[in-house]
Amino acid sequence: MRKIDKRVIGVLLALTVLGGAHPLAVLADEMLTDVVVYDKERGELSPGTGAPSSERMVNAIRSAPPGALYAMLEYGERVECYECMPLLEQKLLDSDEPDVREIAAWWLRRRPFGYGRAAVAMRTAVIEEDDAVRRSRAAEALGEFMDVRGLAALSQAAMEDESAQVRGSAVTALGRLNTAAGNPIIAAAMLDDDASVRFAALSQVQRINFFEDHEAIVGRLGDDDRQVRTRAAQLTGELRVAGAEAELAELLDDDSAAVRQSAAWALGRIGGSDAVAALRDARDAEEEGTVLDALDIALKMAAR
Amino acid sequence: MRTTRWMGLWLLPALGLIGACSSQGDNDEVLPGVDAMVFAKRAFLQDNGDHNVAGGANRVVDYLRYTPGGGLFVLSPPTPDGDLQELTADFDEVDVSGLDLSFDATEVVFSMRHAGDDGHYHIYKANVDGSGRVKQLTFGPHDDVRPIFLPGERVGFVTNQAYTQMGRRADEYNHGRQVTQLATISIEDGDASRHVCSQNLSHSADPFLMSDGSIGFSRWEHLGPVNDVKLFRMNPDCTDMLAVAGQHGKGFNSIVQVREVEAGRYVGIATSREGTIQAGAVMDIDVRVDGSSSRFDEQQAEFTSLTPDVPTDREAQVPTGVGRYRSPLVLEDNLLLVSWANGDVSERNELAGEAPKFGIFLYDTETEDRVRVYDDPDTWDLYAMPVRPREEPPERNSRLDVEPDPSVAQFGAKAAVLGSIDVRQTSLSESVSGAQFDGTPLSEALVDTEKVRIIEGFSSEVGGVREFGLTMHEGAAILGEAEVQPDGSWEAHVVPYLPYHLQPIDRFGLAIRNQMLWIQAMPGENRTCGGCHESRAETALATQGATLAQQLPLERKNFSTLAIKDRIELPWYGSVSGGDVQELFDNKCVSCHDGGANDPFAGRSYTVTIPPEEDGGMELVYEVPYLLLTNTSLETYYEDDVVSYPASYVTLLYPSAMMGDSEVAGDVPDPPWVIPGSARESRLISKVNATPDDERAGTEWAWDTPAHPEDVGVELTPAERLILIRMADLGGQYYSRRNVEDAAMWLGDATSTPVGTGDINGTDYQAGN
Repeated sequence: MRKIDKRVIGVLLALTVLGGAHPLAVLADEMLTDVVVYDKERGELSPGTGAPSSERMVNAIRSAPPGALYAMLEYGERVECYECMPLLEQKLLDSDEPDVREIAAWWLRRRPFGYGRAAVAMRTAVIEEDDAVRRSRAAEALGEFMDVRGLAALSQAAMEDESAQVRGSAVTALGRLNTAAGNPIIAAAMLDDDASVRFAALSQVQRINFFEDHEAIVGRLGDDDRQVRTRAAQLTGELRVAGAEAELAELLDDDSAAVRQSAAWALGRIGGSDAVAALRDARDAEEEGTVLDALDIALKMAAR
Repeated sequence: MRTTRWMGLWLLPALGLIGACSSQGDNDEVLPGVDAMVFAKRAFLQDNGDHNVAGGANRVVDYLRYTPGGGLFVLSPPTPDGDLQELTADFDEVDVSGLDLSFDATEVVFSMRHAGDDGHYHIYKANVDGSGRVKQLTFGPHDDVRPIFLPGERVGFVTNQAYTQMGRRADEYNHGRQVTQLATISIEDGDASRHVCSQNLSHSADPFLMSDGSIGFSRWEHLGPVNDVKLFRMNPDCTDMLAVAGQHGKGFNSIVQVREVEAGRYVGIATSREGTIQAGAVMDIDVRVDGSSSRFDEQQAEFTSLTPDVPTDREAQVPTGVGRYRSPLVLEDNLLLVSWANGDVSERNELAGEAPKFGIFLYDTETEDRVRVYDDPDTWDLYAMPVRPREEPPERNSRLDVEPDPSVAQFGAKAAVLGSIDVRQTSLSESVSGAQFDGTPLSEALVDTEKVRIIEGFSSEVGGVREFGLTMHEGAAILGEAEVQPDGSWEAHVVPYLPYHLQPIDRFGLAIRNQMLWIQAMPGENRTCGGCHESRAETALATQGATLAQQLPLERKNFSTLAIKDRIELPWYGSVSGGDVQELFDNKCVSCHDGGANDPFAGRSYTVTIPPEEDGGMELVYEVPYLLLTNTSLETYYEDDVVSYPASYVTLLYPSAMMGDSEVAGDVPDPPWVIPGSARESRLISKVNATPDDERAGTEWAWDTPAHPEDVGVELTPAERLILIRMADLGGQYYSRRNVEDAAMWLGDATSTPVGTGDINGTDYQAGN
């Protein structure tokens, strides 16, 4: 049985790191290394990683800039830093840095103990906080928790909150939950009074499974907001929604070049004689370069 | 540092052939023999005057970072006071994410997002001399970035387009961001010729062209505790995705922004996975065997820093004058065209609220001197390339131009094929321990291989799971276990596009090795290799005709038609369909391991204490049993309805999940009951022991110790033991797709394709199409 002292391996690995050379390659034939798929102390096994101490994590939460805290919590994915939990719970609502709120939720949701307290706090906050910004952040956190038990609170916020910011965050969070039970809420949000909420709802369609309410998407092709029309046209094409050719063809006359371009691309995806005819007509009338590019390529797409 | 002399792609053409731009050779010449340079300015100044220091850029992959105010420029001559021509002047609020020059240096492809578009990055092309108008090549609700020209009038790039049966891959370890993969289009037909490559569980990024016509790229690799960025290559038809360097002997975490110097030699940026704003040391990577121009071995890759003063981690302070580098390109002997910023280029920039200032420099690797070529202090100046022709590599024949096999009726009638000629062949100097092995060389242990387990990976795109459990491993399903034949060969027809990793397993079902790298294959692709990581430096194994596995009838090796519902998944508890691991405990274990009078571990526990969230708040205290196999939820309720895990999962997996220093107090199982990714080393598995699930059952055992629970009068069938073994070998996941509330929509209907359908690429790939 050929075995090698792990201390020798350690020295060689250190030389590798320090010198940049690869001594193990030279000696590979003479030694064996244990297969390592788990290391309790290090956590991650790749070079340049390693679990931080709880103390470092606490210090980072208290004083590190967003990027540093982000990295610290990633490397500390499995460090059971219980003192970190209440500090990060506070970050969910108090931090002005989106990256900090996101990574705080990411780390908290991986905790078997204490996560429940944070989850309940956010479910309460999204409904009961006075400040719309804090309700919005609570919605973001519930989405980032990816816990379907946040569905009811998020649905209520998406449908009933007086603030468009909160409704938009709640709809986005429902997309993050990615549960079929949230899909009707997302579809309903496509009819919201506020264009930013409608846009947020459309933007979830590609993130969620089993969304089949194509009528809701096609209905937004006539929206009065340019971005909403653009996104609706793209989704119609992406999902190859049959029967939407006439509505898309109308958008080839839209005031917005981005809308015309997206409608052209969608018609190319859907294909068929009606789509081709509409694209050809538009090709003759169009003057905007990037829309002409879309029409040319859409005609080729439709021909395949 | 060794002296290098490069004969790279950029030296091959005669210098100064192109006359697109004017004067050279005067006293101000910075880039010898180069008339003009194309590059991008990327903004960091925001409307309110603040700096966008690392937004979108604090991970190592150059992905999405829209800060308007940049553009695509040609500088001629390439000197600080040269004439600057903006090729994107017709667009407002521009950001450019990558560019490349055509082989004749007359066109540039680039990725751009601008104010009037649809909110996504798309691929465009422009004439280098500014004539004509900019043409857009790609469209749609996804981002296409980092384009490169390919032989045969094609363009390769990175996209986050969704297309698999489960929609858009979400990289759980990049916080659910949409995973990027590679794709190609033709320069003429754009999206009408779009061809999308197989997916990985994390991002593919930074494509570059190799001299043999293949595409090199960086790939973020997450598989359990593996989390780094390696160097890969593939054919332009997306076949033959192979590791080039970084799997072995890499002393830093990530290698990105790579370019080929010559066949088998590369230069790229070596750095931390995050926190360095995608900048780092310039690293020479040599995978040639004994300097050969035709024999490469990723296992023997050598890494030599060309900027030895620059640290490759994120925490070391970087002195003034040292700085960090981005987007290196070999110009000629010892001369690199680079982007460079002074000082730390790290999170300390965040503390100061000031973005690093990347300018374009000529770097001499021998003298370590830098000469400024261009530096706009208000932008990041990146992706610089000399405007001069270069040799067009040969167009590689597609490996997918084969007749479809109608008997494998899925994915355009083309399955993918994985296999080995002889699984016992390996170049890995590893040892295996546990059960019948004790420090046994892998080459010897592999002789015991009876099957190869094919494991599909997935991530949080499945929806409705907070994580996959108390483990670093992602979602996993066993697509199948292919039989190894007497000649050591095996073959499996599998669902294309998906990421897999493999485990050679012995007669007990125990993995002998756990491949910690994802592999994938395109429809119709055959990825039969020599062995279990056979030597890349040796001549490939020769066979006399077909292997025994290749001669097997299709029905014995076809896993390509398996719907999601038919793949083996191991949910721990709460499955909405099929059984789960807890059922086994309920039926066979909890009669003793229930914390009661008959429980040998009753009364042993450790304590978890979580401080209150505010002064005067409630401290949370949890008592975790040493071993308790019931489905009782531990005291993890908060108020009335938030539940974490059943006792069995917490007691078996929590001890192995606690990395680094631990704040728990009391009697923690040591060693842990389950080692995620290794049943062979798991205390639980050795305790229950393992026996083959065939006619050898009960006559052969993996460990010499008595089988449990047979020693106390309870019988565990071989199949039940296999549930536990697979659970540990796969990584100890709690969730599977069967836990997802809506899973029935996948599980009950294999044809359900919510986003994207079947084969995104249609039927056949054709180069130049």
